[in-house]
Amino acid sequence: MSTGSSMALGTRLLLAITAAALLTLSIAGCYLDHAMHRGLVHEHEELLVDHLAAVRKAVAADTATFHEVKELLHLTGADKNEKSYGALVDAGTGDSLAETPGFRTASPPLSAFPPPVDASVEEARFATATNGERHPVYITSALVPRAAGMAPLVYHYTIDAKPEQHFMQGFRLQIGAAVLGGTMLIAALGWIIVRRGLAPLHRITQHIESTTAKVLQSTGGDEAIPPESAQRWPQELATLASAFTDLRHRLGHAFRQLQQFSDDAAHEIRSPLNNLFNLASLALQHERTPEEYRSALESTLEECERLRKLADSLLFISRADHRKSALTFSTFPADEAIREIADYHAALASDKGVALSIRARGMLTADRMLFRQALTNLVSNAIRHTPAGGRIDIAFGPANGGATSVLVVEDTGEGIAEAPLPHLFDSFYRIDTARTRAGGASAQTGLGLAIVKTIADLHNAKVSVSSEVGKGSRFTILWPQLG
Amino acid sequence: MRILLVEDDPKTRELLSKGLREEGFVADAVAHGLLGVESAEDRAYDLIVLDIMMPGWDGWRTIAELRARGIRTPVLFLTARDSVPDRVKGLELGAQDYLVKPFAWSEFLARVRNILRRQSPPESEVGFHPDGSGVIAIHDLEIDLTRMKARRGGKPLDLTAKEFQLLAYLARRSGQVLSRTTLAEQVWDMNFSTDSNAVDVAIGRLRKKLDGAGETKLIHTLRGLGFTLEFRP
Repeated sequence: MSTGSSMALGTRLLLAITAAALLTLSIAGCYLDHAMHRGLVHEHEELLVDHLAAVRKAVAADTATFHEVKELLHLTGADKNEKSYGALVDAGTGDSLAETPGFRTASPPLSAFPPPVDASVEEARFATATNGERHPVYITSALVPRAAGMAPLVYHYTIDAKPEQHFMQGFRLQIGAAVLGGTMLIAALGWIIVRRGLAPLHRITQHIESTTAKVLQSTGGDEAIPPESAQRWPQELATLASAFTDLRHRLGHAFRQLQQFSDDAAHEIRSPLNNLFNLASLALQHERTPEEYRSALESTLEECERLRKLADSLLFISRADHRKSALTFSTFPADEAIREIADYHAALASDKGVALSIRARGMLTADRMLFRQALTNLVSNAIRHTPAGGRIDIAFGPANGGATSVLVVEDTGEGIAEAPLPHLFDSFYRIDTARTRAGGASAQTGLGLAIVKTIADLHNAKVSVSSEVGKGSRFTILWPQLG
Repeated sequence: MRILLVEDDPKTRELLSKGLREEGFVADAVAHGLLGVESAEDRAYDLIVLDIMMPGWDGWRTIAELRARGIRTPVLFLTARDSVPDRVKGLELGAQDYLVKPFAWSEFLARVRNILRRQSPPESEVGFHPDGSGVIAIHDLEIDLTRMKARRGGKPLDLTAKEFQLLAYLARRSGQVLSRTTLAEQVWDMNFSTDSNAVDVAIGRLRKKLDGAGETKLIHTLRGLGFTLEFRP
């Protein structure tokens, strides 16, 4: 089951790593390229400094015939190591005083040269141009000072940039190859890293997928999701693993509860069904008088009533979650609702010789019908378990400074022992099955208190009970204040 | 009075129609919503009893179709589902009442009668006025609804408010069998099943006050069905 077409996490990570590698390597490559180029240019500049110094010295030595200069240039031009070098010295007029052989072809026209820079040669920067042979060249010109009163000479300097360009091209190819190669290597490594990194995630997924109903049934979801080997889960996954362990635990619990409930319910249904079977089959066993048939049918109806009540109660409890949205909340005076219920039970209580008292104040925001239902169950329980001469007190009022309201149904009845107390609100729990079954026509479903708890849960209210055998019991519901 | 029954379960159809006929109604039964609509178009019925969970056309669809064709016959819904939203939905769609399965026959009959009574002026109530006033007289029992007082053989009965309500309810429906569920619902507004037999006890008390020593019993218990108030000479 996938939501949308988002890329796998692993793929995303890998692409990101590769992109980062490519970017970083490219930046490094650019930097290297730039540095190399600057390095080469710097070398040229140093060379120029040397040459210029030599030319200036030569000029100073022979300002008349420029013989030294001519010698110098010839020598330099012929020097195989300086193949790419060309120079010309003139008086600024274009008439050459001295030049290297082949200068005119090796160099662009003099007009292309930048204006000559002064004595400080550090300021000389090369300009680029193309010479007659369509090679790229670096050119510059500098002043060569003579004795005072004489105009300085101009020294034109050319360096063939083609070999350098050639070199740089090769260099750039190498950088490119390194960048690509490096990126691919990082991508490959990244792929391995990502796979390894995500492996724990896959393992957790496997565990989750293996959580079927069967597993929950057998283990109850109790065992935690085990980490690989003896080590614990990495930090980021530890939370996930523990969250899922909790989830499985809760699911297992809910599962078992549900199973238990279904088992109990089916069991409970058997008894009245059994009665129905017996009533009908027994009646048909022999010829009976109309009165006997009548009686059998009437008993049948009673059992049907019992089954119907059971069905209603079961449905109520099991559909509690759906009911949450079906609750109709209203704010009503508590004592009004309590009185209605007390009224209903009044005759019964009086018959048994049990006194009912009400002490209620305040309003309650709740589903009125459900509130009355919960109260009815509590009151009818109390009446049932309180002998003649006893009393049942129903109280309602604010508690915790108005944050909650509390409903108390307290009786001076037979009380409940310590042991059954925690199970009281469980479905079908009956303390003394024999006795309560003797109720006969109004046989209890055993769901009365379970319904009370369900109603409380729907309202986010809390039920509790305290009791002492022989003294009485006290049932409390704490209702949160709403609105 | 004619009643149309739309119910897919054959046994239910049979039982309900039989029961209705025994009570003097004319009952027609069909198994499918569409058939029901067609029947309702052919002849006028006083009441349509409609099952909700049916294959093909369910109850919702059927009543929508009925109303769309301008058939205003009152409808009583029967269903195994008792969720509140379903009830509201039913009423909104134009049903008059709603009965949850399983129901006792007497409840069904009481609802049917109730709806029919609302449609036509009451005939069976003795001296009963729609506005709740008037006097009901059954044998030597007199119930003054306006003054909320009752007398038996001239002697006033000392009843609590609830006891009077119960008596009046039974008396207004004299002869009808009223189940404990119906009484709990109508007299005490208890719309849920309770484990106690409070109704029995209340009836018992009323009986003591009403059917005292020597007097003819007016309140009768029909085991498994409920109670009824009537004079049986």
